Amino acid sequence: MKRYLPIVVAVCVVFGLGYVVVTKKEHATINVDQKKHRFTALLSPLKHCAKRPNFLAALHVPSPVMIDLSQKRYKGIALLCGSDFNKVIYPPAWRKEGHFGTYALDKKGNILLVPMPYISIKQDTFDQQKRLYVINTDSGQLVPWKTFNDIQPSANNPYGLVAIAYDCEDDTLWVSALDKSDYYHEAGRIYHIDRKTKRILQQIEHIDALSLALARTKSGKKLLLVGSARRNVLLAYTLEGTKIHSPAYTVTTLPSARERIRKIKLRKEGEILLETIDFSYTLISQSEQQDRILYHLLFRHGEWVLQKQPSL
Amino acid sequence: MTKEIKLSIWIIIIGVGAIALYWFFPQDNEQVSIDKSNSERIILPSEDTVYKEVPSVKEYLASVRASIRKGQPVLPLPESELDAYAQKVQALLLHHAGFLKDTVINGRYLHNDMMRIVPALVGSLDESSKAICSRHRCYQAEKYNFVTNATTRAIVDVDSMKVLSIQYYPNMQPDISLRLTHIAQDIALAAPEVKRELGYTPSKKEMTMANVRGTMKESPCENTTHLCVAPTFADHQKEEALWAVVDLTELRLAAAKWAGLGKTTTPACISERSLQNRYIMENFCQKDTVLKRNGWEITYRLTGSDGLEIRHVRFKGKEVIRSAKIVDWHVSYQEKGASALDETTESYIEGRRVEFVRGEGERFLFGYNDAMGCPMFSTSVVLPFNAPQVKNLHSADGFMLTQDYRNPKWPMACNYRYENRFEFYNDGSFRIVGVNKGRGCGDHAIYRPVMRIDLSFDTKERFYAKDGKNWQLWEREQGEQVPVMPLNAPFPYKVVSSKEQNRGYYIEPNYGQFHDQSRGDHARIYVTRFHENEGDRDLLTLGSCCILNEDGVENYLKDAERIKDQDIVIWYVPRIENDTRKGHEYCWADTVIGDDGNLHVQVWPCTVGPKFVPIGEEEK
Repeated sequence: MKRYLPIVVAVCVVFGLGYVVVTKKEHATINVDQKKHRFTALLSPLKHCAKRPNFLAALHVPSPVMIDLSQKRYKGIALLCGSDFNKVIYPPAWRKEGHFGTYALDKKGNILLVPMPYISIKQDTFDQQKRLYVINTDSGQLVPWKTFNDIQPSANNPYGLVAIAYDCEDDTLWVSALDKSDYYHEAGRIYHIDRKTKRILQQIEHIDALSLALARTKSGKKLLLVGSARRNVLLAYTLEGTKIHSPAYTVTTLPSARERIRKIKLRKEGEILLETIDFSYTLISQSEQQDRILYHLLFRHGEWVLQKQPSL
Repeated sequence: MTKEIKLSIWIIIIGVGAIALYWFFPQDNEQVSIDKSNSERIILPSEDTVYKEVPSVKEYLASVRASIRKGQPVLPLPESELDAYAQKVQALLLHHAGFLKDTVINGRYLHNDMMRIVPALVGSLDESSKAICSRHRCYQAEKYNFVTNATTRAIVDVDSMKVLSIQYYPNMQPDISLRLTHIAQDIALAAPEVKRELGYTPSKKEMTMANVRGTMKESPCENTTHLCVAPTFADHQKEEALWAVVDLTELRLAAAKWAGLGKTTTPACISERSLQNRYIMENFCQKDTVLKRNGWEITYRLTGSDGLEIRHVRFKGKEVIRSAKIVDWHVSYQEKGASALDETTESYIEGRRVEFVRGEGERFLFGYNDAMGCPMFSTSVVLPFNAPQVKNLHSADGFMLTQDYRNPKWPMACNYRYENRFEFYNDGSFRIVGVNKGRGCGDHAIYRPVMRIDLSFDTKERFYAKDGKNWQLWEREQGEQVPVMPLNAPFPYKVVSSKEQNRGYYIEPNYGQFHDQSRGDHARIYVTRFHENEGDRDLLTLGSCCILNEDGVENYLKDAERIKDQDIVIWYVPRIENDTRKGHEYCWADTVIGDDGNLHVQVWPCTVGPKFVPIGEEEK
């Protein structure tokens, strides 16, 4: 009988390992109501760690400060402060680069900026779309942070980098680019980048992400939320460590087929703010407030409910 | 090693392998579906006039006009759509100031339709109304304002004949009335495109109106300021359905789409603008189209930023044009007050970056460059509406190929509409035409369309300018202001084949002689040597909008290259000044409320562009 002990031990080891793996994998799985095809996991924002840029303290700028990327009065970025935000920080050096579409603040207070092509194309417009910029937290200098040489905007798709999300838990960035997409092919990319080394940790192909955000499920699972540039949907990808898992879940679908999610803001557990625009990979302006629609995505009775807000 | 230990090792290896496979095997999650709608076939209508003759449309328009003439802006529902209580509610609301609040602007009545009057639904009631309506009989009435695209809903206590509440819903459309349902069906049945697609004249019985909304949802017609519905013709054998998107604000077929009967073709995906964009992208941006007519063979396409382009145009088998297009519209406005100009920061109007240029004295100019291009995946800001159209010329001696470009918000201020048009005549003449339809930001506007024309006679070319009575050969790249010529000798230039001097074209600038209300081109002309990167491919915006003595082409003249017996390109840049004076409008558009209570756009176009007349034809 003793001679069968190794076999019994081997079987136990395999079953034990199998149990751990199955449990772990099921724990990692997101709830989807398969009958209704509805995403039913409760989402919360990640731990907030964005810090105010240090140069504001040096300039004795009081809180609050608003980041103006509307491109209406100021090209690129301007910081508004004071009562009614009537004071402007807009040094000449910030005007030299192109227009910016969105930003992320890291835990040191650096402002990372994503470019945006804007109406009239200039000689350097396409080059700007391949650069991620940063305003240094200490010096306030605006400089290119990383250039993505594989990004090639053109007259047939002027968009390069378009969205950014910062994960302060592991100090990494998620950025997306749209340049390789055309009418028939979804060929956008999402890059996962180490903030310290600037190294690309992972690159996900064939997804056009117009907006990005990070979220966590009740069970602790981390998700990358993606506002699709091609469809009127909010998608969720599960993250395993630093790796992204596809396919994605569809969290919600917007009522109009032409709407695209440009901003995703997780306000608190069970509440997401979505800002949408009409996007067609052209330079037609969507900067006016009336061109944007605001939605509340609320977790109610075990499912996500989309509510349109009257106006911005 | 014993046999049992070997077996144990194998069990562990195989077990761990199986576990690893399980770990990396994807879950059965919801897939990101691929939008297969691109494979659906789209039909855009080319005919709008037929619908005015549909009896129900005529009757409806007459009723609207009569109602407005009587000072009653809301067209009431016919008694056949109402029960006895609803009739009383309608009579009450047609004179209720709160219900009629949004029906007048500047003393002009706006077109409103009563859409339905039905027993009040619980979901429509607020708390106080709920309490009353639990004891009394209540009705809800909904009207739609076609001008402001807003719905008004009233809750009425029928027992006491009191209005309990009135709610306004901007940018919302209600369920449509039975009358409008019938009109939508009649429009779909009258549409030539529907008959052509089905292959026979359909009847009402074959149609369903699945897209009438159950509640006040977004309109399926994504031109969201219009009220649209989508009658459908199902072909169960082919498992396909033809969706006819009917615009009830303009009373016409907006678009149609063949789609499968499956789950992917929900009515919510039907939209006029999306359908137009897809149709234009797939048929005119992604591929060339060839048109053969009256001896002409024309290849054309829509470009990313250079509008409608014709290429490899042949007349009676011989190539005459390699490429012609309008690459840009320079738009500038003249104002006074240059000394107060702040040039330290960039400025924007309606979301566009504005360029400022100091002029003489206190004058300054500001403006921007408008690129026209494909509706998706392009650098354009002025987008194509409908597809390129082929129409007969009014003069009946040829035809035109034309494309309408608009800012989506035209004719609102600082929004533009341009037409790119190519006229082809039976005698081999052709004309490159730019039409501006306003409205722009106001008066003192100067528009300069930059036309690029690359003629081709299978050989190299020579360009001549008239110097008195003689033709002067241009040896090198240059440009000049186009001179005004006498009407009996209107050709200041000619382009000929370098091998056959009697084969080529005279250039006839527009002085206003083409019977299109034009005030002339006042153009500059440039001739450059052909280089592929100088506009043969898509040109991004070219030069400054607002330096009036520069058109952007000057950059290509710097080297003054030889053009004699070379492949040459002609650049022709008209200069148009708009006029907003009443009775003298030019390059202008305005919106007025008509006698039917609807908004009507009045357009005063300005038309420019030179005609090319074959040498030898001018004497005929």
